[in-house]
Amino acid sequence: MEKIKKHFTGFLLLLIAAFTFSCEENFLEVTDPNNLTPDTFWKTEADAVKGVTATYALFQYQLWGGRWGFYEGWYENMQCRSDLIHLADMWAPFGGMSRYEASPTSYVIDGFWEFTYQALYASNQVIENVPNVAADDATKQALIGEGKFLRAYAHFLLVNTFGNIVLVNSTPKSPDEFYKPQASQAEVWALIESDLQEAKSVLPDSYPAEWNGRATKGAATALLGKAYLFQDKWAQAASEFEAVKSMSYQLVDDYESLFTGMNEHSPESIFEINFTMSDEGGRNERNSFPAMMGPWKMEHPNEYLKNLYMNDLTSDGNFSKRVFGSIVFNHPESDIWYFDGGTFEDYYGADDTNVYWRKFGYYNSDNNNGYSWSHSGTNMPIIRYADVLLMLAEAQNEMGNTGEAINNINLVRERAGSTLITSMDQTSLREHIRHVERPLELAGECGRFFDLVRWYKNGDLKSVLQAHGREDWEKFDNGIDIYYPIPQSEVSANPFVTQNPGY
Amino acid sequence: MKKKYLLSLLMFIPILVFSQNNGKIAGKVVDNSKLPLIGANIIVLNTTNGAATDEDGSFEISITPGTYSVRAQFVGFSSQTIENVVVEAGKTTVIEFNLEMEALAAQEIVVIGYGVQKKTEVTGAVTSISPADVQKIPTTQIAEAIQGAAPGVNVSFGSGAPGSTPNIKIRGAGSLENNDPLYIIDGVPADIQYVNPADIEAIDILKDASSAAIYGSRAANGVILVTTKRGKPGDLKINYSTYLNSQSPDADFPFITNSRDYTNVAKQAMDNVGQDYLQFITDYEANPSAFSNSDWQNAYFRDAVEQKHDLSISGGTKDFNFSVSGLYANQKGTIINTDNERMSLRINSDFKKGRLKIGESFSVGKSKGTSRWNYTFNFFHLARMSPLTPIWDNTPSGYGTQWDISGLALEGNPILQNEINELTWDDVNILASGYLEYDILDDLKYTFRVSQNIDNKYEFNYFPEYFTSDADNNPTTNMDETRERQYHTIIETFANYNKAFGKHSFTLMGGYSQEKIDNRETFASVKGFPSTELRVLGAGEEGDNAGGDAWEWRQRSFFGRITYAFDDKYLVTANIRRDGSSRFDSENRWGTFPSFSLGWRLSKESFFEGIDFITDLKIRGGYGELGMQEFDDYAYIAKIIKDWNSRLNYPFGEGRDQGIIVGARALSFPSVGIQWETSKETNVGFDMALFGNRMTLTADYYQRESEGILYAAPIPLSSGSYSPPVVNSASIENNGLELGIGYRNYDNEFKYDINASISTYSNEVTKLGQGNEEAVWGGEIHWSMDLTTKTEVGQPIGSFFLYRTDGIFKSQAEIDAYTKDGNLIMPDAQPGDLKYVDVNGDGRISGDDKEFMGSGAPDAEFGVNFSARYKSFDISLNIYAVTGKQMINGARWLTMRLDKFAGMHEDLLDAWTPQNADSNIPRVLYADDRNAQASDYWLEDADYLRIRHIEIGYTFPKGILNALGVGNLRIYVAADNLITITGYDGYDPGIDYGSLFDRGADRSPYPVPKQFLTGIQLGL
Repeated sequence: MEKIKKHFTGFLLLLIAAFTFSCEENFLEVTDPNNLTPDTFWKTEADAVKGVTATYALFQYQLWGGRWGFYEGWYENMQCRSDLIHLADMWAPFGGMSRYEASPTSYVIDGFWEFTYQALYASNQVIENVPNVAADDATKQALIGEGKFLRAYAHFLLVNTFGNIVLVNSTPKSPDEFYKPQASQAEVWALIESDLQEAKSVLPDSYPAEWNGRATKGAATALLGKAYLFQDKWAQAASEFEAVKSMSYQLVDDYESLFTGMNEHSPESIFEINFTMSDEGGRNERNSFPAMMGPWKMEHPNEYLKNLYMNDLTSDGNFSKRVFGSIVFNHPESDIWYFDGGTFEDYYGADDTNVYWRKFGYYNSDNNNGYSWSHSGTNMPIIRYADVLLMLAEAQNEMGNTGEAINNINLVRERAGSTLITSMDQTSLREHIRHVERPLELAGECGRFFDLVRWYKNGDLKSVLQAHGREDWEKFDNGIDIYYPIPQSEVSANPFVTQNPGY
Repeated sequence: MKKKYLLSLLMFIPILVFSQNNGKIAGKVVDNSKLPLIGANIIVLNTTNGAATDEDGSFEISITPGTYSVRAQFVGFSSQTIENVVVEAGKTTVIEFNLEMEALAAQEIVVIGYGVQKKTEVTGAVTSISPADVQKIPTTQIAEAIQGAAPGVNVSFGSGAPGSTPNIKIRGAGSLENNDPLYIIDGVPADIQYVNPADIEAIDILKDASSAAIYGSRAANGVILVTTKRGKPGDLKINYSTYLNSQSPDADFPFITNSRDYTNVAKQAMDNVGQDYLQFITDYEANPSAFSNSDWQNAYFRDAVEQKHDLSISGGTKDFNFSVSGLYANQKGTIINTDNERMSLRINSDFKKGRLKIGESFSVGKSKGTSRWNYTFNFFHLARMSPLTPIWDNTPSGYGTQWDISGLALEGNPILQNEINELTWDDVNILASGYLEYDILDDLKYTFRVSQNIDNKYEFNYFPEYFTSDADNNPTTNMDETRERQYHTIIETFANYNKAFGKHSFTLMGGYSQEKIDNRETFASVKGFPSTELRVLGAGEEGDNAGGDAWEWRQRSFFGRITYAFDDKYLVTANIRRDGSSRFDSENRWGTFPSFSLGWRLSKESFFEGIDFITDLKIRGGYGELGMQEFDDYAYIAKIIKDWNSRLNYPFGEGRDQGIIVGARALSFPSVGIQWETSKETNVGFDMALFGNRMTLTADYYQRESEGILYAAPIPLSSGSYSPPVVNSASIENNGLELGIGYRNYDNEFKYDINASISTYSNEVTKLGQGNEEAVWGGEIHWSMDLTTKTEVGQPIGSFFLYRTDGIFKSQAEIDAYTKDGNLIMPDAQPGDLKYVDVNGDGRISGDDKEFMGSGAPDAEFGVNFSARYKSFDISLNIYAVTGKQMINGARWLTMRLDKFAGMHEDLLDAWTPQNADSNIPRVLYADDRNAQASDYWLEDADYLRIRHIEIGYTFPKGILNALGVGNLRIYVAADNLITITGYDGYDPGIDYGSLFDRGADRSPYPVPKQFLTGIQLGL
């Protein structure tokens, strides 16, 4: 018995000893088996391209991770305050925004702010990390240039949407840096200008076709010109637009093809947000244009815009290409897919009052590649050459060079088949650019409200809305509604941010 | 086969008993009123012989001649041993036991973690639930047995789905995200849902920090210690029990099911907004008989049956014992095509040789069931169906479709979804733990324990193709499978030392433990099947997709305890634990969690001697610190995410169908510098026994401050982080009062026990994030309604934050009179609209007018357990009640709001109209949400009182049973959730989701059914 006891105690001690020794010193150290870390990523050119790709991805504003998000988060968010449209009543999320009663708790406004700031976080990762990857200097510079282009574009969107924004030019290094104050508009514009100047000096003129959609020198130059234009820096703007004009861009003959997905990255295209019908691996990079712009009629042109179209005629009195390309209306030649071979009258009845969008409403049911009326791979044009010509004309007119301005406008009208302008004085031409030419050429392409604000932010935008018969114009407040409210979530979480006036 | 075996066993037993030339011990067991005690156990010490008393309190034991010591024991009475009982061959020796009722807690042993303590010496807030109480409610869920039985322990049900797990919260809200207590099963942390309630010997709940600190970093929400049954020396015992449960759904939501009524409401709603009638209305008026009068609710719910079988075999000698038990349960759900099947096997045994003891607890549990998309929104799918839509129809799929009725909400057929899709889960859990104990000295015991928990979770989803109409179909069959396997390994070693000398006694315990969880998950999906008969991944023809991830967690701990008692009067307990966890970076990895508590047994003092009615009185108080680490692994490590969703990929290239380029970047910020979440709790209380132990009273008051709560409090979106990092960002204060009262009377033939518990608690957020007015919103009813709860500093967690209403405008005059400074406050209102209160007095109604209005957490909970015995009959009753609970009736909101024409609430028939101007129900409006805002119009008092369980049993007399060789036989009938008294209008006021932020936002999950049970308990 005594012997067993002795043996057993020994066995026990051995067991404890063995157990103790088996405890590795670094037992509590673990590594994440699922993900790379910033230290193990950012090594090669391929890593840098992935980082840049992930930055572009945010500009698709896919709020719900799918096709509906872009329409809500970007398209209608940009469009709904325009003086040129009527928004369907049923479209509740935009009701308040389109009635100039935007709420700080709107999920659309919140989502737009969120995605754009994520784009800033992403672009700053590119700008900070690409210098350390193993690649030749020119390649790295160009990739950093893309980062700066996208950072500038994100700031451009934010400053025009919200007015008083947080400027982000680096990634947070510690939790303290999550909380940044609002910057003055001058500081934001200064960063946009310097980012674009650097970008245009390093970006390539073009990419191989499989990389269509990446920012080029032309894109950075055009956006820089636009940034100057938005600050009324006419000469600098004109100079950048002239530089674009000297590049190889040209107006395409088929106006409508710019919005059907059938002529993407055409010679007229300067920068686009890409979408695709492909859903390989379950990845969804589509948008919902054909449904939204088609039978669901979330918005449609209002009376003012309709009248512009009805007067955009060719020399022989027909409607111009951009009328047929932009809208469907009670006319035997006006057609869209959901008429299903029928006519406007078959579908809408003998309605001479209302017109509906055709722009972006394209849907080709013959294409089997997962295509349906709720899916589309149509890209969103952000800057196209026609816009640059009209912006150049605007800058020239403001500088007193009205004749040159008319020539540039006529280039755009000629392509559409519209009658040419022979002469106009500076004031008339300013009004024409603002309220005739840009609406006719660019309506439905999301730039309208930014334009209105840059023209009238120190003036009386309300009376413009009234003059254009915009519903709910009486609810517009010049001192408040030129900007959206800062999202409530930002105001609540960030002690350094104050709400925009009036909200 | 089974039957035959049982029969032969039954025949065999009497032969064993009567075949030897034995003597007998016979007699009676009575209490001090000379009343017989039925079912008392008689044990002949140092033998395997024993018996139980019959309805006369009599017993008889056949035994070989000799001299014995015989003990009688009975729950609630002190046991009595009679020495030198001489038995001669062929003769009967008669003895009589006279048992004294004892203090309820006198000999009770409480499990306190790495050891046990006598209840009288416990100085912390520990509640023990006796085996009798655990077994009282026949169930497959332990939580059901706990509800109302332990003050301060809240049990709630998030769903009545078969196989769903109730939520248990101890003392309110210890943290923000995770409020689940730590479960320790036979000494090791494990998942409670695989433990069969029939296997449980005892449940001990460590409620306060001074007692729970021995489990340190995971004990902030309290600890529930479960001890399973082990064999006892004596005869082999075989027990079988079964019940049949017939369940009926409480599905009486007042939908409009008549198409005429439905269409009338639709017309009124369109008239009120001045719109032309939608097509279905004109079609209906043209030909009403072409439309159905579908009762979707009736088609969706059903009566359903559950059965449960338990079989256990146990026995042992003084050196060896074992217990083997098995469970089979099968429950059909009260929603069509839902069910749950459970099986489990448990083997516990202990072997003793000299100073060495070795044993194991081994269990295998298997559970499989059906999952529906999401139980919480299931009802919301049902509620989107119009009675005009046929449930079944002459379509290729055989089901009706709402998509083809122009103007109705575009919703799929929920009956179709439930019937054709196969969505199942199937989990297996194995928990094996072995121990070795060695008595190094007589009072020094060493324990070494190893445990391995293997958890396999499996999910299978199959969506076959179907065609109902062009708009409502699934063109491609698709399926997915998910497997998750987890190994949880624990090695621990500790020693206990006990010493008593003179009036001093103390114990020392110290130990070490090391734990590791290794988890791996794989997922695959595929679509396009040649036949819906083929249901494996390999049969799919397109769209292969696979994924998976893994995580690991490790912890190393040192712990110790010292207790000291002087003269059984002055008691001290101190615990300490030091934990290191891999969830923290090396700088912040270790945390120390100390506690101490004191007790004073006043009743032992000499100045108490004259006070006879107080049998025992102990006051106690303690303080402790606890930790919390329930958040994701690797949180402090920055991550590069690739190809995760559309936020990272981009389709560069030509044309509309170009391929996708996979992107990668850091999406969110890591949790830099996070430390342990700590909660500091002070507890004071007393335990009292009165009137010779007939009455007991326990009370506790606690105050707890949780600091540095690990929570992903919102950070500014301008930071660019996809999600906020989990950081030490919040503080909460909790306090509460708990009272337990027990009274029992065994003096007469009618013997009864009554136990009542009352607990109150309140919490307040004292810090949240860094911002000025940081708030966490929750309580989602529907995406189109504002979130209904807001959590911010100075308020309880998950408080409702809503517009206040003041009835409806009955006339234009009332609207015109509702002004501020001469201006109309609600200029757009019309008669029949809700009147919102301009709380901030700015002359208009905006989000600034919302107010805090209580929460879904009750202010107080009450539980009453009553049980009584009269001769062979027994009865028990369990009542549970809460007060101060508020709920948003989401189902009513959904069916009263006509954003689209979907399901409608009967109240709409009585809505305000100029002809029905006295109505308090707002006028019906199509696609106009003015009356459907997040307001108190939808908030209801959800106080309730529920008879949770009522049971009547009959125990067969011994005489009959002896002839059959059956040890005992009891039959019973019972009902669960039979009666609920409440003013709440939704399905169930008892529903409570796990999340504190969503509490009270009732989205009508799977309703908890009424149940009627019939059961048999048989012992051999």
